[in-house]
Amino acid sequence: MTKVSSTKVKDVSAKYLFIVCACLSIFAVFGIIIYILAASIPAFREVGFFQFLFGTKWQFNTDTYGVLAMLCATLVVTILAVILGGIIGVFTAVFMVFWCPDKLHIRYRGKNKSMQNFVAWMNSWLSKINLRTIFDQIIKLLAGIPSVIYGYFGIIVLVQGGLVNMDPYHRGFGVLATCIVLSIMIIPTITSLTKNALEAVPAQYFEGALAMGNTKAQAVFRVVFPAARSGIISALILGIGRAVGETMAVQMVAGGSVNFPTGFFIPIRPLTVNINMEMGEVVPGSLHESALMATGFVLLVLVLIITLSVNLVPKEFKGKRGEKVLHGTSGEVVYRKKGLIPEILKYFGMVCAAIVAIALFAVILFICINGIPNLSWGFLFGGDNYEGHSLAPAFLTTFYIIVFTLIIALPLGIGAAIFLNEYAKPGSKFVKIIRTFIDTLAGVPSIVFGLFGYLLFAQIFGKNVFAGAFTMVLVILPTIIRSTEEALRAVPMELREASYGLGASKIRTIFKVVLPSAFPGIATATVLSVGRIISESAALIYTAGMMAVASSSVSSAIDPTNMGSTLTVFMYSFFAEGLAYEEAYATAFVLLIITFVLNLIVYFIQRQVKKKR
Amino acid sequence: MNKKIMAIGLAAAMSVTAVGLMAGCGETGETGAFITTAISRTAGSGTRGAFDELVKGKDKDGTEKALEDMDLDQVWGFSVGTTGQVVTQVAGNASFLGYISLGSVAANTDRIKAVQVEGQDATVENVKSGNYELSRPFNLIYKESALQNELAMDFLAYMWSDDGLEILRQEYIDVEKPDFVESYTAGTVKSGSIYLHGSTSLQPLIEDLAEAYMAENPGTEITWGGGGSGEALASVNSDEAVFGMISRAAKGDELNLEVTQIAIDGIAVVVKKDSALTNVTFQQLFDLYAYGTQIECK
Repeated sequence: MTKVSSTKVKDVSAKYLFIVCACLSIFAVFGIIIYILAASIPAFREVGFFQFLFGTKWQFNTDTYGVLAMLCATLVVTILAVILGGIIGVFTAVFMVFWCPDKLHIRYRGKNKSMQNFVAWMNSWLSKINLRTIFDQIIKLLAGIPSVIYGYFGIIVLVQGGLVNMDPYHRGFGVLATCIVLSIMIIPTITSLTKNALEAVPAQYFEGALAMGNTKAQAVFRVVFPAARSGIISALILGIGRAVGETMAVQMVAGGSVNFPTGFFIPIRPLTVNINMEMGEVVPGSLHESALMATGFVLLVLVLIITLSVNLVPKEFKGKRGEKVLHGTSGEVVYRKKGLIPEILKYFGMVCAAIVAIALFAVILFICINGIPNLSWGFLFGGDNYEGHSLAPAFLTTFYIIVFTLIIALPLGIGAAIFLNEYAKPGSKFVKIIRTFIDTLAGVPSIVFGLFGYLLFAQIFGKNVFAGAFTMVLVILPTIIRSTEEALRAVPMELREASYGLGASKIRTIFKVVLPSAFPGIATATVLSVGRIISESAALIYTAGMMAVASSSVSSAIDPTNMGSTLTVFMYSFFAEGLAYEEAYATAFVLLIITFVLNLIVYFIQRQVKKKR
Repeated sequence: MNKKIMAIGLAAAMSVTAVGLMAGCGETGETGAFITTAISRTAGSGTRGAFDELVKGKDKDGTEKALEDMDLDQVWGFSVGTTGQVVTQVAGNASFLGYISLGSVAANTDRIKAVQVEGQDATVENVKSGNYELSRPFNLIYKESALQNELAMDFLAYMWSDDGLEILRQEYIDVEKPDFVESYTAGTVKSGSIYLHGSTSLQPLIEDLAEAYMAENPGTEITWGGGGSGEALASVNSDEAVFGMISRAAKGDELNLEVTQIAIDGIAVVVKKDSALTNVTFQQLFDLYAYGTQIECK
């Protein structure tokens, strides 16, 4: 009897433990709001809340703080970026789902023998490539590239190489540059989510439309596309959230002065940039610091509104879907809706996909051309004995932060996922609330995480690797919970039932049966988190610190109670110090390779899973 | 199938264009005949504070004003974060003008150059003699307890040793040794580590001094970091750093700590290396930063 009760105790206590894990996201969101609000209160009190929100001047020496111009700048570049990136992203997704061929094949009708041979040889080579997979990887790679790299690309190629010639003042910075860089950065988010939405539309819709005599393009744009509307809108909203919160890349191309965005080449300072530019110069405890926190608070509220509005998107649009397709304006049935527009849109989708591919290749080419010649063994692993700058300390710090973050975040994230999938009643209010908070946490911009970490963890631990790791836990928690949950959901119910049938307790079933079968999903979550940690910069600068490039040494980085820069922060400090461009490019190349390898690992894990099924 | 070929062709054409753009990165179009855009450091930086205080000119109503009295962040001006960002911007565009610590110019002479101000070269000699008027102090702030830190005091002593002064005088101006700093003998301190935090302008000097010091005193470790003068106070108060580095006069709560001036630094006005501009006046700088009045390159 005692044995049974002890199992029961274990079961119940485990359940509560999982609930606590799941509730952590709620605590985190409230913690962030409360801490940042508390830190901004002095500014709101001194300046006045409305004066702060609607003031147009930001002058540090006279303690005049108003964010209206910056708020407008953020909104305008976001809207422009979502229009540009949204159109390209959505149509790329349409292309990927419906027109991207698995295999490329060149047809040649001419009579030239050597040409025929050449085409045959090309085809044999092309048949080995799966274009759809490649496109998938392109999107994932675009998503994984650290924003600092986009910033470099933006300033050197886009601004100094291109836009400067279009700007009447020969500057090139400002609204247009920011919007282009942002749209490249939000395309992966929008494309992958739109792709999911399109793939979730039941195949009958598409087939039915074809059966009615529609062309493929008509079926896609007149039937499937409207059916996926709510998913696409959610994708765009999440894209907006990403654009609003982006810091590093924007800082490099926005210009930085406080202006209203009245023209394409007006230098601007979005909210995130304001925080990141001035945090380094701020006197702690001053009104200035509080004003920057208040900027962060305005940003946070903006992002919360955007993220929460995703929930307002109706899951299904009411009304008779396909009505318009089948009935003409006169009400009589037309079985085939004619029109050239879908055909044109189809080609537009191809162009968009090409643009995305080119954007990625341009970034990669830019990094490779500038980075590879500057690589050397000494630079990578030289350590303290190497003459020049070495990445060795940054590797160490990156490794530490990854390990510490995962040690803390994995159990918490998996615990939360277990609660959501194994214990909670699906669809219950509690679960809905937790999900909303997880989504909200995922949408918080990394610079806000940075401010929170600065206010909490950097006060507890001091600015060091631990403070950085704790901050990163919050950043990656949503990723881990979501991917683990997905993996748990894919474990067949029969496995659990069989385990119960053999007399195993719930907790035993979870740990011995469910979790092992979900292992590949958890592994994927881990790899994705590693990628997120590596590409992060804004959340780490204020928490783990930004070492001067020349003073970082292996002997200092080996002790995690010291400050340290991860690879991405290291690359940013090359830029900030303006001392060693060659090394910055080489670091970018290293980051690119790491991102690529991580993506490959995820790809192979997922392929393995597919094969097993 | 033709469509596919078309798409691929289009892709190829566009990537060629993209590569073409990149090849053009080296030269940014024509050398600007005018300086149109002013680059400042972020508000709160020591360099900016000193620059805004020192650059004075006649305002439109005829009264003499300093830049700090003016509204600077305007369409014609960029505020950028750090010294490096000023260098990046100026080096990439011939119509930009910015300012950085004189000591940071040497490391970047392949991309930017310092111009004369009021006909005076930005050199250590001219700053020392007072002919070149753009200069500010370099200060270290620390808690009283630092006076008991053997390595910290020895490092301070090193700054006024013959070797230390030689390093300092290459790009900065030395100041008189404070009484409490003892004379330096190599090898007295065998171990320990200190961290300095704050101004990016001070870091090149600290780097040179620390490396020379550590070479003479094996076993000791000196590290430094930070994004601006404003961070110095907090890092000292939290005992993260022994010394805080500020590149302006100490103010506010910083005055509650010990303050020691270690050098005087010039502020260099910089433009792209191949710019035709050689000299600017205070009035020109004032008009550019306050009103966006262009400066002709000659």
